[in-house]
Amino acid sequence: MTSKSLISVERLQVHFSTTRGLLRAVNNVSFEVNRGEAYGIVGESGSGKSVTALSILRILPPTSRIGFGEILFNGRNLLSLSDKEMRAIRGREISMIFQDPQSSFDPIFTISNQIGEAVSIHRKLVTKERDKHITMLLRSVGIPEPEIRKNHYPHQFSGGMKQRAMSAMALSNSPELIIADEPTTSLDVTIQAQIIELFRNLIKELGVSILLITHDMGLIAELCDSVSVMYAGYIVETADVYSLFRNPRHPYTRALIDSIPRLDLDKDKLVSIPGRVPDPLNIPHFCVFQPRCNFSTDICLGGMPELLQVREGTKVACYRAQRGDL
Amino acid sequence: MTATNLVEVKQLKKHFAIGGRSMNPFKKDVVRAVDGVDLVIKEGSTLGLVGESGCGKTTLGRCILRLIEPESGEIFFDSCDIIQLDKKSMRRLRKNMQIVFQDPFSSLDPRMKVGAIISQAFNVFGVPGGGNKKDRVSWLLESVGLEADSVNRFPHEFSGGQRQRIAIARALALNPQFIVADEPVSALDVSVRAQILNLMNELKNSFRLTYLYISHDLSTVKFISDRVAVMYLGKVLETGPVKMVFEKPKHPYTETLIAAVPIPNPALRFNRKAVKGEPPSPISPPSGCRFHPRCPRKTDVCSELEPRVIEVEPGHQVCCHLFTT
Amino acid sequence: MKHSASSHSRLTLTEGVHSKQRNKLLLIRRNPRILIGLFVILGFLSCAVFAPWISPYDPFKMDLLNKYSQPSKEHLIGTDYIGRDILSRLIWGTRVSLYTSVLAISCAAAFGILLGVTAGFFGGKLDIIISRFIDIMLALPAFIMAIVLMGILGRGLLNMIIAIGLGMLPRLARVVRGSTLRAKENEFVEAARSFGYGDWRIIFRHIIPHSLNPVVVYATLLLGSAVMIEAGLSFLGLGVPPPTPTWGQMVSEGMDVMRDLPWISTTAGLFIVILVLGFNLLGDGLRDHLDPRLGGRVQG
Repeated sequence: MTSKSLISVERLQVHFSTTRGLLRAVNNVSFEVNRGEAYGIVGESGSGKSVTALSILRILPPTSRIGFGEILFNGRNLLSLSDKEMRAIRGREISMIFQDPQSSFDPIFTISNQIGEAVSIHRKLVTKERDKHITMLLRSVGIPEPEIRKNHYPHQFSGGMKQRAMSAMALSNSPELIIADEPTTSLDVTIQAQIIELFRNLIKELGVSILLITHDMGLIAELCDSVSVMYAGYIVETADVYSLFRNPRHPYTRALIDSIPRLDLDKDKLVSIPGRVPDPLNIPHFCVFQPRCNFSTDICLGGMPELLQVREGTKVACYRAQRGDL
Repeated sequence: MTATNLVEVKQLKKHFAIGGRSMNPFKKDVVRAVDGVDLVIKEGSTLGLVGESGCGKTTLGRCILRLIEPESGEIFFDSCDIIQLDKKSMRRLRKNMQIVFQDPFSSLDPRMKVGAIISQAFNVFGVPGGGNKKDRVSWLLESVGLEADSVNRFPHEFSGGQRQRIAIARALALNPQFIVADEPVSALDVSVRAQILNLMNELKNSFRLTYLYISHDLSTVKFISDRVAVMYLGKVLETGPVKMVFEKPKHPYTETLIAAVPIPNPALRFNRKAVKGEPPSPISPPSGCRFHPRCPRKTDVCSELEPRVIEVEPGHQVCCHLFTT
Repeated sequence: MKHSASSHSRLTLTEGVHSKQRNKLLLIRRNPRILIGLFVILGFLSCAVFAPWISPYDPFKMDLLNKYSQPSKEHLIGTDYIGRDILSRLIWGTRVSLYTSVLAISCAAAFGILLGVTAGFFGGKLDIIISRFIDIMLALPAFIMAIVLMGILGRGLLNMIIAIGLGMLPRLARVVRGSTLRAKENEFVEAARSFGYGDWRIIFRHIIPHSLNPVVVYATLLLGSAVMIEAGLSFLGLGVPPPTPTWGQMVSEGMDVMRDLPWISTTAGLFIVILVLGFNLLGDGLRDHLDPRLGGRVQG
């Protein structure tokens, strides 16, 4: 772990005990986010990307268990901290923006009240100072007339505005890392573009790092510097964003990119991936993508491949890619 | 041989009265969901209808099928104005026009078996061409790539993508000519979308279907449509062949919409500028051209007068003052 | 936080294919209330049905020489003020309580479903009228309403069924209206319409089946209330006229000799309480068993 590194997740494993058996949501996941960087984790439903994000802040449901692994942040292993220590970190050094801005705000309190609450958990500010801080925050995320609007209720804000307010709340205690879980999924595309621009500015001007969780490859391409692709709880490829799109190494990444309809290209037929995502209660012991993979051979049934470096900046979890076969 | 216009919509309007914000019970707010829309859908083609939330595209789709009753305007299906039809005649016509919904969970009754869901249609109209219900259901399931033994299973036993296939099979049950697809893949995983989109194209060719494909996702619309109509706040701002509209858009809104779509190619990252502002409320739309408050190229007349529809190229229409000579 | 079905960021678990049978047994085992409730109710049902055979004596047979006798081998719970065997009367009394409650609730359910779906599905003025009607009826407690109605209609089994049924009707109608409003929002209703389904066909095929779960649960619980009301009416002398044995009346008769012969009122009261408990347990158990969250999708 270098000094550039802000947070390093190592060999994280998370499972849920359900009435139907053990659900292995996150398996042996490792990645590193640097300071001032936008890092993307992309995957479809059941990939484990959200659970990974929630594990960092340790806000998983009680049926979950973190098997083993470490999450190193500023020299401390977050998984070994006490509840009290974690609470000091949540909302301060690491904060989170959720997918649905509708339900993220309590409808009976004003925006100012709620952001103020987030601030006062971590700092003691006199009311006047706090109000000034809130106004400044709202202005910095592009909300017009913040002195007036901060006293409005959530239902008086549109979806895009709410997401900006959420970002303001996430910024309220000058975090080093913001985790954004599908932050634009429920927004219109023109508003999404505004939020992307907002995030870019935050990184540039405040030096904050953003961990972006999404299923949208376009969003990843727009915003991120490095990417990890997740499938069925495993990371199958990690690369810098340019390499990932120009030359995807893992068959899943390739298929994912090929299956997206494009505005900038003409496609007659979309490449579809046959079959479906494996049942998380029954993850196979061999390569988890093998049943759907066009390139599978006998070695693929030998066990789940490790995530290994194949060239500068790119790691793949695929036997054939590691051998240089593909 | 030119294809006929299977569906023609003229000056369609649908307004919703909602509880007013003021306490005055006589003054109700009116949402002008669809406010004077003209559309033409040729037989055997796919018209994509794009727009953001609140533009009225979903309402328009349902109005065309008269699942919602429009306020005024005309809807011609095979040259017959269906708004004039009485309930009985309309019901008879329904077998020619079907709908596939966005949410694969709420569009299938969870208490019914798949076989019953698909053969619902036969309860009113009988099996098209006579014939056995069971055989037809099996054949429909196969056509959408599902196994015949699915008939005895319940929707919750299937994945989202499979449920959409069931919904499509249901829509095909009566051999319709026209299908309205309202965001059919938005709720599905990315890798599954491709399967369903490919399926829809194949079915269109095999069964000579005509589609109205409603979506907010421009990339999907570009892939599946022949022509596209861009909606904003209840009005259609631009219509034309899909390649023409997306590669050389004329209306400023279309340009901003296209510019806002994230491209899965990081090399093209900084090419665009985001449009400012928020879509206004459909209750009190702006005067004149509805897009003028956010338009980067607005002129003085834009805030006063509503623009007319101009044909800038054969088959390509725009509703914008920049093109009125 | 609730997430719509279209959110993909949360982990989703699709239902595995498991047999419905196994599912039912597992849940019943985890839900002993259903079993206990059923056991109790079936016990009383047998009493009612097989009364002529299990009852030791004819409940109308008087034995004036044996008034108010103590419990003995011949009369396990003694005799009443005109020498009739208490136990036999208790057994036969089951008939009145069960028949009244079951018939009253069945009618209330049938009409309640009709009113509820009409109000919920068609909305508008119809809904306003029906909802006001329901609200007005609910303003009075069901027991008071039953008393008033019996006063108007006079005594008798049929009148009691009507009186109790009318009191329960608005409660069931309201529940059905609620589930109708919810079911109506689903797109499969629109889909049915696109097949040319008329309103009533949609109501019977798609709306009413979705109301059945809450109605079954609520009706079962209301059965307990119906038994209580019937007992109360009989106690006040407004129910089925004598000499037909009813538990409520027996409680009332036993009040005079409460100090010396407490078992007359007590046993009758106990029968009432146990039957009501049986219905309540069954209703509670059914409510948990039929909870849509069990056997549904897991998101988290």
